[in-house]
Amino acid sequence: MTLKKLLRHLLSMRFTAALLGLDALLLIAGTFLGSQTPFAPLMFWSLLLCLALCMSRQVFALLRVKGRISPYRFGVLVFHMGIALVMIGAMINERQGYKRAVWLSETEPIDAIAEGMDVGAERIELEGIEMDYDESGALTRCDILLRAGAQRTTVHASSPGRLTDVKIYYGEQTNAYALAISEGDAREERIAYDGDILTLADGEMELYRFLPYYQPEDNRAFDLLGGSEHVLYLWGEQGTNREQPGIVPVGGTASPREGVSVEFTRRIPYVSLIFKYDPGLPVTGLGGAMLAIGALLFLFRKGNEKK
Amino acid sequence: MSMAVLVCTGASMLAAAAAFILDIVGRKQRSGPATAFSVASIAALTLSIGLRTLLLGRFPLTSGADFLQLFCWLILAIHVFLRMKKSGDEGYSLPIVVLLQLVLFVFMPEQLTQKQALPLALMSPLLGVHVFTAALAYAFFAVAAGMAAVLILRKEAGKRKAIIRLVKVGFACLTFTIILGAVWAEEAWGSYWSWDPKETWALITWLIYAILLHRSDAYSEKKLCALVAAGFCASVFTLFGVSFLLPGLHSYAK
Repeated sequence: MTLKKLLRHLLSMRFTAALLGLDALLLIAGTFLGSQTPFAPLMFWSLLLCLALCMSRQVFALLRVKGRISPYRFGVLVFHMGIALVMIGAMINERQGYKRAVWLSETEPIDAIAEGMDVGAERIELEGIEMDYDESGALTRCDILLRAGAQRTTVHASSPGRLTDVKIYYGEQTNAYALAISEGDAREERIAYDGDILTLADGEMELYRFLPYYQPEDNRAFDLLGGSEHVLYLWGEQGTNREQPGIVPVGGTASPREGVSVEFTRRIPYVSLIFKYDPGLPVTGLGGAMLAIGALLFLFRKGNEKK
Repeated sequence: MSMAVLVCTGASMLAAAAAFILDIVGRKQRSGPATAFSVASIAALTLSIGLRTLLLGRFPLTSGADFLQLFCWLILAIHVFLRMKKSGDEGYSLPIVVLLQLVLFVFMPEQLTQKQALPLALMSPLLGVHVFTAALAYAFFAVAAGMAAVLILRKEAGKRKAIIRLVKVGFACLTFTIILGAVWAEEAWGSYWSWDPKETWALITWLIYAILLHRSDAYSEKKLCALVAAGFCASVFTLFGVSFLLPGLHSYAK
């Protein structure tokens, strides 16, 4: 095969369609085999090659057109350039950006999120969490108030906040529980988290958060406690006494076993946040806009198509 | 009330499909009854969607049943529009609508009476646009699949351009859906693209139709129809298969 023939074959629509088909097959295999497959790089490069070929062909086609350039042809070129820019933006993010998940409590500010992350060289503090619920108990608003020096930002579940160049996303809201555990004369202060298993001197005890809005069928227990929002759900020793959990409101004490008392001193709000620096965003955004414009121009008839 | 509307919708769709089948079995081409029943189905679906809107206090878009209703409404609207423009839609998309309605009747009737709170991540103005453009794209693909069936089963010429045009509009809508979805995912989850099964299958659908658009001039009618059918199968899998077989970030859309 001569070089000219090879070039013609590589620049043909047939080859492009074959690459697109290969990508589709790799993706189908990927969804069933899992994303961490060797197919991913192959797919990426075949799509990139496909784009390069399509764009070069479109540029040649535009240069060859005599007279007015049709919106359709222009749209096709803009569309392919848009995909290329989105991929370039993604590559910039991959190489220069970062993304970290961080847990932050009201009592523990953090100094640095990760190496190289700049949020004004200030400690980041969780100022508070504001939540609203509807009549059925479903969470309708969760605002996380953050502070770094003089800067303040609010992170919502559906819209991120920002401190300098770093975007901050809502991850998850949960609680930690300050407990005072007494066994005989010994008294110990502990911080526990949802689902933690508290290990006592001679056994284990499970600790759960009990929020009535997550378990409306358990409203009876909620009512008994006078509508307290945060109560602990303490189970007895594993495998025993599971049917009769101790329910402890803030400030209350439970005795899951003889000689042991657990005082629930206070609730500590905790949030998981995602800190993200995205230097490729302008390129990706431009690519997305070009994709949209190109898709709109697709709706025009082809230049050579008779109306 | 909404159940009664659902029954009326199903009955009018069934009537539309029956009229269409009589149309193709009979020698005389009388499109009137099928179109009239399609318009009646649109009216019944509009009433059903309106009742859901009143129940929820917002436009219903999040559950599988809500999406199906909107999807059927759009297919019927495109069908009637093409009929009025005499652009060659014979109504082969009507059996698809009846099948979708059957799925709704059998698998998710309870969803139409449920009042679910919107998850926090979905509280965005992008929800409506993203879901609507997705339903519109898949509706165009469904009508194109119906036309491809006409091309194959009745060997009617002259449908090729209409099919390609429908696919082109659907492709543009799907592109908007994916872009809007990426923008929204960045706002809500902190990532444009997570290789979530729903996202991946939307991309697979997009790639299949991209192949068709790249080679639309070169393919024979059979190949063209096969690709339209493959694309529509991928669309259906993206809509339903993924939600039930491949759980991911879009799992609330069952």
